[in-house]
Amino acid sequence: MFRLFLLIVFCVIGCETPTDIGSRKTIIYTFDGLTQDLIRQLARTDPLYQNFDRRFKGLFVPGRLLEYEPFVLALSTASKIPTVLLLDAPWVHRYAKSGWLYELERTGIYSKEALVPAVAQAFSVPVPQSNGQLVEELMAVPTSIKGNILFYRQDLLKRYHLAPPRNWTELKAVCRKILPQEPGLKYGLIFHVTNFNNDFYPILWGFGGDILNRRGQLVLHEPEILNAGIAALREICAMSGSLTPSVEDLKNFEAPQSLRRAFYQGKTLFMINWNTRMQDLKEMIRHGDKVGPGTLTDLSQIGVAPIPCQSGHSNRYSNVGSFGWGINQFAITNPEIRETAARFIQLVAAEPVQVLAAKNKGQIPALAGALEKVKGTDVWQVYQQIFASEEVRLRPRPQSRLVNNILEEHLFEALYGQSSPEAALTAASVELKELLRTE
Amino acid sequence: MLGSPPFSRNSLRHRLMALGGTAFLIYLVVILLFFPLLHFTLKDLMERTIRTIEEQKANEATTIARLLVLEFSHLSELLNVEPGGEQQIDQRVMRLLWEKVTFNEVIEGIELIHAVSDAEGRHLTYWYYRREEPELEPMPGPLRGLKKFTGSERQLLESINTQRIVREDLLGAVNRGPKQEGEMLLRYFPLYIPLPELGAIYWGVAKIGIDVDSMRRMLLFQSQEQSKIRNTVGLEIMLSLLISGLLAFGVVYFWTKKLTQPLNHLSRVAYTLETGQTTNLELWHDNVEQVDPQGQVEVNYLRRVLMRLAQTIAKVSQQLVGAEGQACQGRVAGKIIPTLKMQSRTCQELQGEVQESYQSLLNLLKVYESLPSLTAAQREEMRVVRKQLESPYKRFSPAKWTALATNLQTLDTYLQDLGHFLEPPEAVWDYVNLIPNLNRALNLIAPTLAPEVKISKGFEILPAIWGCQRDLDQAWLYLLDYARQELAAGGELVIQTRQPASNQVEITLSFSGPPKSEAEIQTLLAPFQTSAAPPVHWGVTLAAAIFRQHHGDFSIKPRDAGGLSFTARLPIGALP
Repeated sequence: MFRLFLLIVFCVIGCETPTDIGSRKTIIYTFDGLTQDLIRQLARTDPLYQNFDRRFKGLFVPGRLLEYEPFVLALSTASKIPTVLLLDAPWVHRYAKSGWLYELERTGIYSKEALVPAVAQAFSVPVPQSNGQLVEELMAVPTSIKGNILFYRQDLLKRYHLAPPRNWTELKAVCRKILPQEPGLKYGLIFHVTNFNNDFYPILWGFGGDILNRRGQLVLHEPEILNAGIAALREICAMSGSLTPSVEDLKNFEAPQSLRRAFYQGKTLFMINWNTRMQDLKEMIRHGDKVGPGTLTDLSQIGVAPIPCQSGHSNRYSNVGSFGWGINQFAITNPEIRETAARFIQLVAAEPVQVLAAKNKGQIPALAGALEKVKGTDVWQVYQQIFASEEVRLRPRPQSRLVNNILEEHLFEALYGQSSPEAALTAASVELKELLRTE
Repeated sequence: MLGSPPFSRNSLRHRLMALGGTAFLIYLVVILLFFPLLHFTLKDLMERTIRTIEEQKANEATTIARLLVLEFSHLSELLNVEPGGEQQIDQRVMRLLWEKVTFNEVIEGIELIHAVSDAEGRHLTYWYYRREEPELEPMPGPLRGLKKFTGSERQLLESINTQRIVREDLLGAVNRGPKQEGEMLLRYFPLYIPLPELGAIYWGVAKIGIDVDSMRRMLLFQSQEQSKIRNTVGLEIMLSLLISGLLAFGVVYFWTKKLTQPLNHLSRVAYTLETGQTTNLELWHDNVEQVDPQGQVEVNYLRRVLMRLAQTIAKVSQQLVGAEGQACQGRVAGKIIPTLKMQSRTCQELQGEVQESYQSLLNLLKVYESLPSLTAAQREEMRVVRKQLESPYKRFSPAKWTALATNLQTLDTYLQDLGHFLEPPEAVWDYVNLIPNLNRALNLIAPTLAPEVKISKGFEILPAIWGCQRDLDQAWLYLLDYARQELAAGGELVIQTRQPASNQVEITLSFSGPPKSEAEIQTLLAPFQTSAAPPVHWGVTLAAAIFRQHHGDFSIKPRDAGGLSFTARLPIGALP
C-alpha cells in the first residue's frame, strides 16, 4: 500500500512540467570596445550598469578576422553563439534576409517608435507575413546615426553670401565662384578614393540610380537606372582635375585620414565624409597643429549639409554607416534567453549610453530622447542640419562585398580615366548580373 | 445446541460483511483507475523523452554539421570548381569526405552541392555515404558529378541557394520521408568560403547525414524500460490489491463476526422461543442470561428485555395453563353433572334401601362438594343432590337394589374419574401406564358427547412410558374435551393406541366434525406463529406442549370426511 501511495504521489508530481535545468543565465554578445568603454564609465555612477560583465559575456573578434565575416559562418550553420551581435547596417539586411535575425518590434523586444525615423528605417527589413505581404520589421537597434555627409567651409560660404549647395549644379557654381578668389583652396570637392563606392552610393541615389532594390535584386542593368548611374558618375568624373583631384592627385587621398587632413589644412571647399569626422576635426582644431596659412582654427569654419542630388530630385541621401544590435534567431531557445537579450539591448542602446557617446565620441544619438538631451551641441546641429530633414534618406549600401568590389573596381576605372563612365557602369552591370545569376 | 435463524442473509453480520466488501470493491475500482492514469503518465513521459532525445540528437547533428561546414569553409579552391574534367581540388575534397565519413561513426555521409546548376537543373556535387544498411549497395568511394535533386530536397536547395534560408518545413519534410542514402538525420547548411577583402562568399550547400541508430536504440531501450515499469507497477498494484483484499476480507470477517457475536447469539436464543424449540422457559431465560453483550449497550438492553419477557411469559404461561386446566375440568364437570343428577335421582329412590351405601355416598358428595374447581352453581347442584339423598328412604325391591347398586357403581365410577381429573396427583415423573387413564378420560367425556356419537376404541397393550402422570392425564382431557366440542350428533370418535416401534408408543384420537384448514390446524399447534386470532381454548396447544415436554411428537391431520386426527408419539425410555 505504501508503494501504491508513493506511485500516486509520483504520478501527481510527474504530471508537472519539468523545469529547464539547462538554461544559461548569461548571454554572449560581440565584444565592442566603444560599448565597453561607455558601459564602464556609466557603471561608476549608474547601478544599472554595474556587474554588466558578469551578466553578459563579451565575445572578442580579432580585427584581422572581421574581413572574413566570421559571423556569416556561425549564423548560416544555426550557431547559438553569439546571442547578440553588433552589426553594420548592410549586414543587418543581409542576415535578416537569410532569416538569421530575430524580429525585434513584433516580438516586443524593442519599439522603433523611440528611434529617429530615418535611422529606424535603415535598420528595418521587409519581412514576409503569413498573408504574403511584406512588412518593414526592425531587425537591429542602432546605437547612433552615422552617414556620409557634405562638409563645407562655412566661413567661406558666408563670406561670399552663398548657401550650402542642394544639388551638383549649385555645388559646381559655388566652387567656380570661390575657388578663383581663394588661392589656398586647391580643390572644390574631395572624397574617399579607397572605398569610393561608399561615397558614390549617395550620389548615385541622388541621381535616381541604384544597384539592387530592397529585395536584393539587381536593378542597375535596367536602362533608366543605368543611365542615372552613368549621369552620376559622369558628374563626378567631369569635375576631375578642375574641382576634384586629378587622376594624378587621387593617390594622395588613398592614405587613411588624408581627407580630413586636407580639409583641416584648408585645401578644399567641400568634402564628402562620415559625419563622425566632425569630432576628429574638432580634435584637430583643439590641438591646433597649424600646417599652413589656411588651416582651420575654429569649428564654426565648418559647415555640414546633405550630399547634393541631381537637379530636379527632391531627396538627398546618405550611406548609413551606423551599427546596430541584432539578436541571433537561433539563440532564442527559451523565454529566459529572449528576456536576457532584450535586457541587454535595452541597456546598451539606452539613452545614457547614447548621450555619453555623443559627448565623448561625437556620435549622433539614434534615440529621439537622447537627442533632446544633447540639444545645442554640435552633434545636435549636425542632426538638425542633415538627418532631421525630411528630404534626407539614410540608406544602406548593398550588403554583398562582391557587389561592392565589382562596382568599386569599375568606378576606379572611370575615376582614373581608364574607361568612360558609360563603359565602366555598363561593364559593372553586366558583371553584377552574371554574379547574381550564379549566386 | 441453538438452531440457526433463517434470516442469515439479512442479518447484521452479513450486511456488515457486504458493506465491507462493497467498500473494498469501490476502493478496488478507484485503485484500478490508476492504471489508465499510469498509462497516460508513462505515455507522456515517453513522448517527452522522445522529444528530448530527438532535440538532443538534432542539436548534436547541427553541431557536427556545423563543425564540418566550418572545416569545408576553408576549401577556398571550391570557388573555382566547374563541371567537366577533374580538377586539382577534387581529390582533396573527396579525400576529406572519405576521412570524415569513414572515421566518424556519427557521420553517415556528406554531400557538397554547388549552388550553380546547369540547364538541366543539375548541380556539381561531391558526395560520399557509408551506406551501412544491408539493402544498400556500398559506395566504392567519394564521387564527384552532376546531380539532380527532386521534391522537397530540390525546394530546400533552391531556398538555400537563392535566399540562404534553411526552411524548417522543407527540412522536416526531407527528414520525414525515406531517403535513398539510407536512414539518417540530414542537415543542410549554406556553405560560405570566407576570403579576405571579399568576406564570406557563398558556394553552395553542405548536406550532412548524421547517424540515428544510437537514437533509435535509445528510444527502443526507453520503450522497453517503460513497458517493464508499466508491467512491474501493474503487478505490484495487483499484488497490493490482492494482499490488501485478503487482509481486508479477513479483518472485516473477523471483526464483523466478533462485533455481531452477541447480537447473533441473542437472536439465536430468541429464535428458539419464536420457533417453539424451547419448552423450558427457565432454561431459555438462562440461555438469554448467558449471552455476553461484550459491552454492546444495544445487546445488553435487548438481553434485559428478553429476560424480563421470559419471566413474564413464564408467569403468564403458568396462569394460562392453570386457567385452561381449570376451564377444561369445569367444562367436563359441567357436562357430567346432568348425568350425575340423573344417577342421583335414581339413587334417591333407593336411598332407604341402601342406607349404608347411601351414607358413604353422601360423605363422598360432601367431599366433592368442597372441591375448589367446582363453580358455585355446580357446588349448589351437588348440595341439592346431597339433600335429596338425605330425604327419607323408601323400601326397595331386590331388582331395585340391583339397579341401585349398578347406579351407585356407575355414579361412583363417574365421581372417581371426575375426582381423578379434578384433583390431580402431584407432578411426579415416573413410568406411566397410559391406557387406564386414557380410558378414564374417555369414560368421563363419553356421557357428555352429543347424542348417538359412535365411540370406537382400539387399544393395544402399551408399555409404560417415562413421563408425568398428571400432565399426560390433563393432555388426554384437553384433547377429548376439544373433540367433544367438535363432535356433532351422530358423529364418530375413534381412539387407538399402538406401539409403532420398540421405543415409542402412539396414541391416535380421530373424530368427525367440521373441516379444518391448514391455517386453523397451525393455529392449534402454534398460536403465536400465525397471524390468525388465537384459539378460544388452548387445550390442544397445551397438550402439544405437554407431548413436546415428553420429547414426543404431536401432529394434527385433517380427516377427509371432516374433523381432525390427533396423533401423539411418545418415547418409552427414561430421559437421559
